[in-house]
This record gives sequence, structure tokens and C-alpha cells, in this order.
Amino acid sequence: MKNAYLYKSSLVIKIALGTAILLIVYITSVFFTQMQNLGASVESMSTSNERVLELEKILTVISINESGVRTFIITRDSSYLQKRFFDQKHLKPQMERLKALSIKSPTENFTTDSLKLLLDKRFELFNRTLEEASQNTKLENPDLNFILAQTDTATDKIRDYIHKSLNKELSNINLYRINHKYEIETSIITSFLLVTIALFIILLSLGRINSDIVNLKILNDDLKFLNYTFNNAEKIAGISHWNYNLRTHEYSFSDNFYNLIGLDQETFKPTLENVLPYIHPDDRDQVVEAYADSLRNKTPTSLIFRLYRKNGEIRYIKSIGSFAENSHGEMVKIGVNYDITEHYKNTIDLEDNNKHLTDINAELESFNNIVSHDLQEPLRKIQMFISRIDENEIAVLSENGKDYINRIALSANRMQNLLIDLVSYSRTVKGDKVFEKADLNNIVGEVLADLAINIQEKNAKLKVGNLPVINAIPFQLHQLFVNLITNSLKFSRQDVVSEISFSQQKISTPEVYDGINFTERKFHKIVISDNGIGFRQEFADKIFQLFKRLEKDIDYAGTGIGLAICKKIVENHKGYIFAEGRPGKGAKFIIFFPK
Amino acid sequence: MADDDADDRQFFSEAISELKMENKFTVFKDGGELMDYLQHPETDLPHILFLDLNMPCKTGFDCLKEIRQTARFNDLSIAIYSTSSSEEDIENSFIGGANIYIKKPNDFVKLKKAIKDVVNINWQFHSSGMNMETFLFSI
Repeated sequence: MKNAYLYKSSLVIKIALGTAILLIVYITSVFFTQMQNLGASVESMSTSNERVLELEKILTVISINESGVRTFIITRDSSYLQKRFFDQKHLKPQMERLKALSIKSPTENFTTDSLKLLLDKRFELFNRTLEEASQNTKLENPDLNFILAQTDTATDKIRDYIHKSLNKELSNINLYRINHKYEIETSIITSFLLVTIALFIILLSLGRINSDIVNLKILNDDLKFLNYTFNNAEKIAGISHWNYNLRTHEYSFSDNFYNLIGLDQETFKPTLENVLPYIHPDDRDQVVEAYADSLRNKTPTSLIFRLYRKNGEIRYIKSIGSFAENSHGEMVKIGVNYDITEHYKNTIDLEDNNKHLTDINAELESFNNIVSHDLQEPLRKIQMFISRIDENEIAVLSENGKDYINRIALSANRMQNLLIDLVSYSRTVKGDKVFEKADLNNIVGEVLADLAINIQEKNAKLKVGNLPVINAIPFQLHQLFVNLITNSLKFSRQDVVSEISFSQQKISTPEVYDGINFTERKFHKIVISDNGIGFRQEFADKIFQLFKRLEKDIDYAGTGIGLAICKKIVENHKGYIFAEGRPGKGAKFIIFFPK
Repeated sequence: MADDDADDRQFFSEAISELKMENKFTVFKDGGELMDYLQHPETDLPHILFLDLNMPCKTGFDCLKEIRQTARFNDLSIAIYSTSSSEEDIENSFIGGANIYIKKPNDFVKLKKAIKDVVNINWQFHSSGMNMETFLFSI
């Protein structure tokens, strides 16, 4: 997220600096125009000044000439005429200058041509006056007086013209000065504004850049820490990674990659060729081929190979690689190597154990066959021979002999029962565990039908309540209920009518057996109770153990396997079975099946 | 009847003689002996063959297969007579074409009853309604 902020920030700075530059360019152009205006106004002022100067010069020449002429007339001293310029050519520089100025900056009510006309007239009059004064030296000379009168008028005209012109220039100069002053003021303000704004923006950007640098530093530190964490994590997890740039053909390995092989990061050049010698020779071709294949088709790789560490130790490596684009848009192959040595060894151990278990199972199977077939075979013959004696020879035996034969028969029968029960117990343990939906009502119904003769013999009363449908292995449940009912029938009391009840009970409040919490939500509770001889509660666990019998009395002869089978079956169904007994009152079996 | 177990052969013979049956009865010690006898062209074929499954060399299953592959033995009824109560053996015998399966009893009286019943079965009737349940002879 911080990165996103920084990217945005750099954009903001770019925009700010761009704006600052645009602003400076704009203000500079404004400043430039102002400067140009200032220059123009200075120029105008100097033009006007020059014009004034030239006009003054012309006026002076006229005045000097006039006073010279008049003094000459009065004194007749021609020296007064010396150094006077009666030729108009003496004013030529001034006239040319004025002409140039008026071309450069023409003014209203003034042209050099009209001034020239006036001057031409005046100089002509000068010359006529001098001429008249030279011809007639009399003081009283009406002609001369007339000319002089004319000269006065001409001089006045020139003076008027020039004065008018001068006034105009002076007012112009005044105007220029005001403009000039204004322009200087505005350019000062503009340049001040320019510098201020530029400084402000630059300072602002600098501030922003500074804070970005601080953030970058923090980010960089975070990144360093992350990198450190990552490297450690790789070490702990036994993972390393590498990547290969398809454009630059450069490899890069993670720190742990070097560690895993035991290479020196400084001197080892990361390439596939340099790593190959550390790969087990038998796996090398497979690795090279898979790698080349993957680069050609841009397909991900997943392979397992053995790696030699520098110290000669062999490690099993699982390498997974895929392709991605880096920030420059270049295709990069990224790979992760897991050190699966422990895992691999464990798997091999596990496989060994499994094989061992399979062997044991096979042995158990053959043991089962021995019990069920080979052991029963001689027993069957013993029973057969007993029945032959019983039929044909019993009459010739003494009482003792008869008793012995009877006892042999009982023992042989008991052994047969043991063998049958053992087989069914081992079948329960091994069992083909195919679960299906089973209606317990149906199963109990079948069991009662199977045991009808035994129930009749004992004259027992059976009460069966409504039972649930559960996910079960039906033939095992059949066996379970057969064993439980047989058990109850076997341990009935002689003096009372045997009553056995089957029912499902609601678990209204959570019940605890053996530290396990049973709730209605998770379990079906099924209770089988009888009014038989019962047992002492301290034996409640013992009765489920293999070959454990509580009763030594021959009347209650059992194999000690039946209830062990029950427990096994319930456990096969992830259920629990508990027994409660009261001596002389009855026994209760509680079964919890998971829902 | 063919059985490798001498005791069982003796029980069987004694049972037959005690039953006082008129039928001709021949005993074989293994599958090879049995098949040699049956395949001899001059042999009068029996009506019923009691066949043990676990025999050395030629097992009961081998004999069953050979007999059921030969057209000449079509009318021969075969009763498997074995100690095994494994469902696998019972099923394989049924599929192999045996007519009934008798589990060797542990009581001589029961044996006599079994032989008597099986010999007296109306085979045509029995075979027509045969299934896995009626296949296993209940003593």
C-alpha cells in the first residue's frame, strides 16, 4: 500500500514541477514583454529629447543670425556678420537628424518639410536684408524696414512652430516618463512574483521529495527486514529459489540455494552448468532434459532429483518451476526447490512399515486359515470319533469311561466354539468395511428370527422399541446384536422370567461416559438391558476384554470373546459401548453410534 | 466319492454300509485316481459324486472343472463334501457347476442323515430351483 502511495506521490511531484515550469515560462514571457516595453519607452524618451535638442539648436542659430544682422545694420561693422551662418547648409546636420528622428518616430503637427519651408523663407529674408543693407547705407531706409518687418514675422512663425513642436515633445516625454515609471513598477512586481512562486513550488516539491525519501527509506528498511525474514524462513523450511531471465540469460539464486549445496555466494557463478556437477549423475540427464523442455514449451516443471552437498551428503530435492513476467516485461522462469530428504526418508520408512504390515496381515490371514480350517479339521474328527463311540461302544464302557467320554465331548465342543468365535473376532478386526444405510429395526428383526429357538428355550420376553437408521456395516451389526442377546440369554437368572429390552433413548442433557461428552446432536443412544445375574460395576471394563470371563460357573460357560467382538464392532462404527451392572439385578449395555 | 483323508473315507464308507443302501459305492484317494476312473470308456458312470475340495495334485475344483467341460458327464450330479465353510469356496463350487455343498459334519448321525438325504434328492427338481441358499446343504 505504501508503494502505491509513493507512486502517486512521484506523479504529484511531476505535476507540481511541470506546473512550476509552465508558470515560470509564462511569467518569463510576460516579464520579457514588459522589458521590451520598458526599452521602447526609454527609446521614445531619448528620441524626444534629441528632437528637442536639435530644434533648440535651430532656434539658436536663427536668433544668433538675427542679432548679427541687426547689429550690422546699426553699426555697419561687417565683423558682426562673421561666424554667422547665412547659408542654410549649416543647418543641414540638424535637419537630417530631425528627419531621421521623425522617420523613426513620427509626431503629430510636425514635419521636417514644413520646418524646411519656414527656414528657406527665413534664410531668403536674411539674404535680402543683408543685400538691402549693403546697397543703402542710410539709416532711414523704408525698404529695409519693410524687409525687417517681414523677417520678424518669419522668425516668429519659426519660433511658434518650433515651440509648439517642443511643447508637444515635452508633454510626450512627460507621458513616457509616467509610462516608464509604471512599467518599472510592474516589472519589479512581476519578477518578485515570479521568484516567489517558483521558490514556493520548488520548496513544496522539495518537501514532498524529502518525505518520499523518508518513506522510501522506511520501505527499504522493511524490505530489508522482509528479505532477512524470508531468507531465514527459507532456511528453516529447507526451501530455496532461483530464477532465470530468458532475455538476458542471467540466473539468480537465493541465499539458501547456496547454503543447501554449501557453495560460496561470492565466488560461485550462478548458472545451470555450474550447478550440474552437484546433481547426482543418474538424475543429471533428466534434469537437463526437463529444463530444456520447459524453456522450449514454456511449460511448468516439477521434478525430484538428488543433490550432492559440497560435503558429499545426498539431499533429495523437489524442484517446481513456472514462468512469469518481471517489471520490465521480460519472461522469467522462477523455481522453488524443496529439500524433501526427511520427507523422502520418512516415506521410504513408511513404505517399509506398510510392507511389513502387509506381511503381518498376510501372516494373520494364514493364521486365520489355520484356525478356521486346519485346527478345526482334527477337532471335527475327534468329535466324529466321540459320536462313533457314543453310538456303538457306549454300552460296553464302565460308568467312569462314560463320564470321561462325556467330558471329552464337552471340551471338544467348547474348543470348537472357541475356534468359531476366534474366527469371527478376527473377521471383525480385519473385516471388509463397507458402510451403508442400515435400519436397525430390520437388523434386530432378523437377529430375533435367527435366535428364535434360543429365546424360546429360555422362555425370554423381548421388548424392542423404535430404532434409528444409521450408517453401518450391516453384517457386523447383526453379529453385534446376536452377541448381546445371546449374552443376556446366557446370563439370565434361573428363578425369574428373562426380560430383554432394546430401545433408543433420547439424550436430553449431555451425558458423560469415560470423560467423553455425548449429545443428542452427535449421537444415537441405544440401550440393551436385561434382568439377569448382572455383574459388579468395577468389572464393567473387563467384560469387553478378550478371553476375560467373570463367571467360572460351568452353567455360564462362554468363550470370553463375544463381548470383545461387540466392542470391536462398535469401534469399527466410530461408536462407544459401555456396560452397567448390578449384581443379581441385571446388566445394561449402552451404545452410542455417531450420527 | 473322492477324498484324500483316510478317516473321512472310513466314516463315509461306514455310514453308507450302516445305511444299508443298495447303491454301488466306489472310493478314490485323490482327484487323479477319480478322473482316470471316470474317463475310462468302460466305466459305468455314477449318479452322484461326493467330491472333497482340498486334495493334493488334482484338487476338487480341478476335477469339477474337467467334469463340467465334458459332455459325457452331463448327467453326473456333484456334491461337494468339504471342511471349508468359507463363502469363497461355496461360491466357486456353485459357479463351477456343483449341485450341492455339504460341510463335513462333526457328528456321525448327522453324516448318515446327510448322505441319505442327498442320495434321495430328486436332482432334476433340485437343479431347476437352485440358488445359493438351497445350494448349501443344511444338516
